[in-house]
Amino acid sequence: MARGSRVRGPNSALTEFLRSQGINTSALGRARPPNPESTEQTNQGSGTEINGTVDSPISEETPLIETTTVQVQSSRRPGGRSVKKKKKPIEEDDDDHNISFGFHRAGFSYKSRENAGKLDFCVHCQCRFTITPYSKYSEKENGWLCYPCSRGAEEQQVPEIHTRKRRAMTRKKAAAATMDEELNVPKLQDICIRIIAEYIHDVEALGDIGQLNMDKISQIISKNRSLDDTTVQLFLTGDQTELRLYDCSRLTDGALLQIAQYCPRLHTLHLTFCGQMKDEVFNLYSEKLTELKDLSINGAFLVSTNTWISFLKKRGLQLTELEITDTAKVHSSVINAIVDYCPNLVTLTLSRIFYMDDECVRLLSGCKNLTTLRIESPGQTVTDGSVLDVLNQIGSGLQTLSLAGCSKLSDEVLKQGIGPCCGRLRNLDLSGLSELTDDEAASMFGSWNIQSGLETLSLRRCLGLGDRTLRAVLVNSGQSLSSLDLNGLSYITSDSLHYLAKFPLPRLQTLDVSWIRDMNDKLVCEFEENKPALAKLLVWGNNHVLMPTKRLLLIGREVQ
Amino acid sequence: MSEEYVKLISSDGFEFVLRKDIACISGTIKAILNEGVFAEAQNNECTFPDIRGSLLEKVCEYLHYNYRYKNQQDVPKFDIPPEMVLELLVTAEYLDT
Repeated sequence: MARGSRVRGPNSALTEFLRSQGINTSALGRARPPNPESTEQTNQGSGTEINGTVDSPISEETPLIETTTVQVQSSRRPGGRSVKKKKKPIEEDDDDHNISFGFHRAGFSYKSRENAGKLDFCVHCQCRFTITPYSKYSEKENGWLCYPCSRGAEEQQVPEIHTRKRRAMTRKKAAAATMDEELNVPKLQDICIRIIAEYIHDVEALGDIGQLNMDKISQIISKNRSLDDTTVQLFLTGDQTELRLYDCSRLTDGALLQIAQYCPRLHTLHLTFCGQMKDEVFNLYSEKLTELKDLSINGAFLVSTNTWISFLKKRGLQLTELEITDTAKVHSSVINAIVDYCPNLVTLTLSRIFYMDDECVRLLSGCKNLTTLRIESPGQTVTDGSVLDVLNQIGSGLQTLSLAGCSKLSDEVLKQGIGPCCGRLRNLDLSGLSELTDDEAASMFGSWNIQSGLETLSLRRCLGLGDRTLRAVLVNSGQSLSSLDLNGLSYITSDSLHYLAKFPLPRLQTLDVSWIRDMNDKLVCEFEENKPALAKLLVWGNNHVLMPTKRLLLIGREVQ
Repeated sequence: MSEEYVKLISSDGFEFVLRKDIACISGTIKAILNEGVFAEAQNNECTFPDIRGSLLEKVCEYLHYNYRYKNQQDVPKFDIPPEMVLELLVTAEYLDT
């Protein structure tokens, strides 16, 4: 094989095609000495726009920035071998040898064979060795490296080559970061808190850090599932007035007892996932926590009915906010006790209560001072009648109402309950009410004159609703809405979405248009332009939303 | 204007000179330096009698890290030796950073 020989053997169909197109694949994924010949050739590369990065110092990134045609070829390498091992570069001397073979054909191209077998001196250690197709060429030192030196060189040179897997990982990380909204560099406080959470077992007393940061630490620790009997000591300082533990699943009842013992002055106590809470603990709470105003107990399934009732008897008078979720021991007797013993109750949330039924709901009409009422995902059937009773009695005082998950409710609740009664309503959550119909809902919102505009509205998975309701909602509350959730309303058409985009919504900050088929990139652009306050847009399951946004936080976009 | 330098002085007398726009990533420092009437703003100097030199140095390091990696992906981890993490948290809260 003399150099410059014009004799060429048969080539594959692919190489013939590429040559006929004039595509020069010489720079394909091969790190080679940036000799002037290759530069010439790539500059002469006809028709294809090969970036001038071949001769730049960032030669390692060449495979990434190639043209699409070249990339197609690279992705078709069998076995998807990543561009890591640098094979001996082909010495391009003239145009005739444009087409080079994929180098995973183990260096059996003409070029590497040219030098193979020659004796040379290693440019690094000056030892004599035979050049093989596998020998490395060192760009820095302009010469061939013997095997031991080439091993050393490879370790240094680790190129930041973006294989497909890498790219997918980066995208995943970016998507995860978007989901957690951790886009920017984290604040120093957050970094510190994270490290504290890691080292928590070595940290004894934290001293005075400030209530807000204690809460942040609590959140992080709970997220790490590191909250247990030892680490909870961090939070039991004595003169605390607020305590929120977001994951008490590892706290034994001994630790839960300590909460009452060490922090008797609490006026806010939120415990989530406190499955280990037993009757004795709760009884101790009713004794010791004399200043308790805001109580939220989620998942205390072991606490018995009588214990609830006795707690409410003792502490009910001072309670203003109460949240009970996920328990099967709360029967109508407990609800009765709530109504009887908690006259000052302003906020009441009852979610996923197994025995929640019409009777229980009806009893709630006795809580006269409520401004926030949440009855969510009741375990038994809750029908219109009881809800209407409640709304007729106390609806006019309610500012926040949530009937999420009460799936058996129908339009009557809107027509005869919310519409006529709830004049002060600011936040409405009707998630999961799949029996609501478009026409009725539209007419309710259309004629809802007694109230002055909602701030948050969730129509999540109200599958029956569509265009008419959306338009009626906008007309009714457009001026004041700051958060609108239309997740799952696939009947909404693009006409209405355009209407939504054009409608003035000065306060809208969060919009969820997931799973609406007609959502597309053009609409996203329109949202970005016309809604100055909009910060977050959720587009889960919107197949036609593909482009990223500049200003908005776009969550749930599919990426190829 | 962006090439103005400010000096942060710790309780034990260490002085740190850095660019004003980087220093103002800290909300507190920004407030101190931008309030025209205070002597600090006149001299472009800020003294922190409660913050030790080692902590202030770490804070400056963080400010540069923040400036360098703002709005980027693949941000490397910022290392803090665990011995100083608690005080650093308090300091960070004070400096609103």
